[in-house]
Amino acid sequence: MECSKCGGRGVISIRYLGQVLCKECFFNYFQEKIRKTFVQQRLISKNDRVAVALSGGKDSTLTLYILNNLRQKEKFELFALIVDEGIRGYREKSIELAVRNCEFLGVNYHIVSFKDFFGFSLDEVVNSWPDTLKEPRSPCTFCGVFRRRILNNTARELNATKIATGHNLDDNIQTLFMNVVRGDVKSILKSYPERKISKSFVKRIKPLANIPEKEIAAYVLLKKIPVYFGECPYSWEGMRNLMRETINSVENFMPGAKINFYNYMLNTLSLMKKRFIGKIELKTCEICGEPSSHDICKACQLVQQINNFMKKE
Amino acid sequence: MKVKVKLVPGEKEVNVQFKKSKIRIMDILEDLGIDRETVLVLVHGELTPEEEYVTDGDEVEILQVISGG
Repeated sequence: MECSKCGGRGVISIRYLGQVLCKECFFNYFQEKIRKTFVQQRLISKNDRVAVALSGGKDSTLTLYILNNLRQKEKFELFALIVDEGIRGYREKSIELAVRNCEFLGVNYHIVSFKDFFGFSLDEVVNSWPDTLKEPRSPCTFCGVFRRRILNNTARELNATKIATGHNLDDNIQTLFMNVVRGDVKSILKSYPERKISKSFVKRIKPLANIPEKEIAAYVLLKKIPVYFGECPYSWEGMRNLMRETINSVENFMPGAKINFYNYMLNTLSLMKKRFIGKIELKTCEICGEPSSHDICKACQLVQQINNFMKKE
Repeated sequence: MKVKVKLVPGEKEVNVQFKKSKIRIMDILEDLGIDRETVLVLVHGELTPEEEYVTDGDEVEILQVISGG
């Protein structure tokens, strides 16, 4: 198939544009989209110190490459934070690639493990969690809470001004749908990209927030960036899978639905923020002192439960 | 026509048969029950749009792209 722009050999079909693009035209399209995101959302300021949350997978690795490229032009510091959850047979491979990419680019990195930070690995948590307990339903729940805690605390200790994550368009819309069907307005507001509700939280940026997962994979593949494509053995979060299938069905029926929904989300959240953001009051966790909506934060609640189960074993 | 399809990750190989002599990649995906939003398709190692045709003997590789966690 021919490229819709230059007549070269088409490599990817961008259905919401109604175009097939060749490698070069796809690179130009992709890079321009990223450039616009940085400019419009002012993601990076001079003298920022940015921590990339790096897993070794396609999204975070591309985020690292993009920021590394940008720091050749803009003055800011960059380093990578690699979280080792302790998932045997999976995380070792992705960390190996993450480290290799950092070394190739000359980016400093820090590896922090669940085991060192909390005293247990994710494998140990999954194995000790009783089947009789319904909540939390999947390892992703522990993993997400603990990973966010490690990233925020470590980034703060290392004086980062921002944490860059590799969340893509598909991730963002799935999360939004999950929160909508749960009626969880607070979590929806938290996903707003300009959120800064406590000094203890390092600001998060998502340079790939409006890029479909498929385009990220295509870009990484065509650029021959070494990334890990393996699947986490615990990635069976039922609700997210259902949302992925539902949203993709809508996209297949109406190409462009995902990006339209993302733009709708940004506009709506901007209005919601004006109405609600001052009303979100944060307490201080009685155990760890981190900001929390409850007396004891979610991470400490989970740690207490896990420690209790492990003692019983 | 018969096409050999490799599924990555997993390195599983499946044979897909069609009555027509020429089919589009998207037909193969539909036949296998794979959503095109979740994969990239390589033909003879080259990234290829799903609307492209394949014929007997083409080597097709389907790479799953959804986040691994």
